[in-house]
Amino acid sequence: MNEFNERATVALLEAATDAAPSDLAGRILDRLDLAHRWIRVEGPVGATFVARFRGRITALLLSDAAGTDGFEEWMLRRFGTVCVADPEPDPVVVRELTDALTRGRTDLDVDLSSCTPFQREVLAQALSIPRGEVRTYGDIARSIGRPKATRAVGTALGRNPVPLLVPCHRVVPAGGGVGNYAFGADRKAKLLRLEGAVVA
Amino acid sequence: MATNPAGTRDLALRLATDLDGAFVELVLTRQDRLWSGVRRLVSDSARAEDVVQEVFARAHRALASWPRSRIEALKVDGWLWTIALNEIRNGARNASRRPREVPLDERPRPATSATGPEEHALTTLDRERLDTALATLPIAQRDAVVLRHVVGLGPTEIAAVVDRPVGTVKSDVHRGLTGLRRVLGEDDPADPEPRRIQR
Repeated sequence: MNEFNERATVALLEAATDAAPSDLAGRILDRLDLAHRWIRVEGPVGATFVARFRGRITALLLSDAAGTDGFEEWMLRRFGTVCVADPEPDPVVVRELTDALTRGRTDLDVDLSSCTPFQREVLAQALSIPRGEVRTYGDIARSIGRPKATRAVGTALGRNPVPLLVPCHRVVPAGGGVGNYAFGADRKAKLLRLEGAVVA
Repeated sequence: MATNPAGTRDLALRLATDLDGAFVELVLTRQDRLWSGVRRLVSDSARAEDVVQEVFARAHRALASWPRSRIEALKVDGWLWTIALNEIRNGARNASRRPREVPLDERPRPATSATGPEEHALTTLDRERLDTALATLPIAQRDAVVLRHVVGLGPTEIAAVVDRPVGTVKSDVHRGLTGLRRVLGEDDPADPEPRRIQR
């Protein structure tokens, strides 16, 4: 007969902890309409994940920027939100998103509630830059009445949750070149070239 | 020893002010503990998934209808377990009307990337033996032992969950551990005779 004292029994119970199935939280929250849903569409610089919550666009990430963890893990890490694949993407939504990404449509319903008021001001200015044009970080800072906040403008644009749809790539340094971009300077230059913008 | 997630009071306050936002946090921070406990109390993973999903669905429905002051005063973890035990009992009642019980034959899931070191410490065989031994205990003792030593609730919290005096809960935990020791000590790991659960 095995010797099984109380301490060993308690240790066995305390070790009997499991991680819940990895997709359980998504299923629970989706059922309660508390999960974001993602779809994948083709954009100007490759396959693109777009997250939506109750019909509004909340986040966007290039497929190859999602990393090995994938888009759902990225959403959890960055926004603390659970995101699941949209089981039946609405063809109208897919067409609207494709139009927005490839032809510059800007009337989609974007949810910027994850942003600070300052970020929202900056992104609203970026959204107003017409396709084919650029503005400098200083232009944006002045347009929101914070002329010295050039660096903060750059930070706010860098945290844009919906790049491409809010065209932060149309904001460039005053000193020339395309400057930084969440998806890389090469992609920023390509996007501006596709849009016909002239960058010094 | 398992411990309760930190910030229970803060979470209740957040649930009171931003139910949907805080509920995501509730699910993410409570699902593993709830899963571990429920998994020890039901016969298989599919049933455990049903229970955990239903617990959170019921919890959200309730919170959505409660006044803010009631949510702020909520002891979240104990309350979730009150719902869970009710759900398990309801399921057991329904199952008892079916022609036969489900054999305890399911193997634990493979470790995932989210698996902690504790899980690796317990072999599949240990887990099967533990679940089989737990299934031999009277329900009150099984609930008390799992809530105390798998979930990590204190005797007072458990007393509130099961609506029994603290002294009775302590006695149930003690008797449950004694029963487990006896079964585990007698159990021969080389004998994989399938057993049937009580619930």
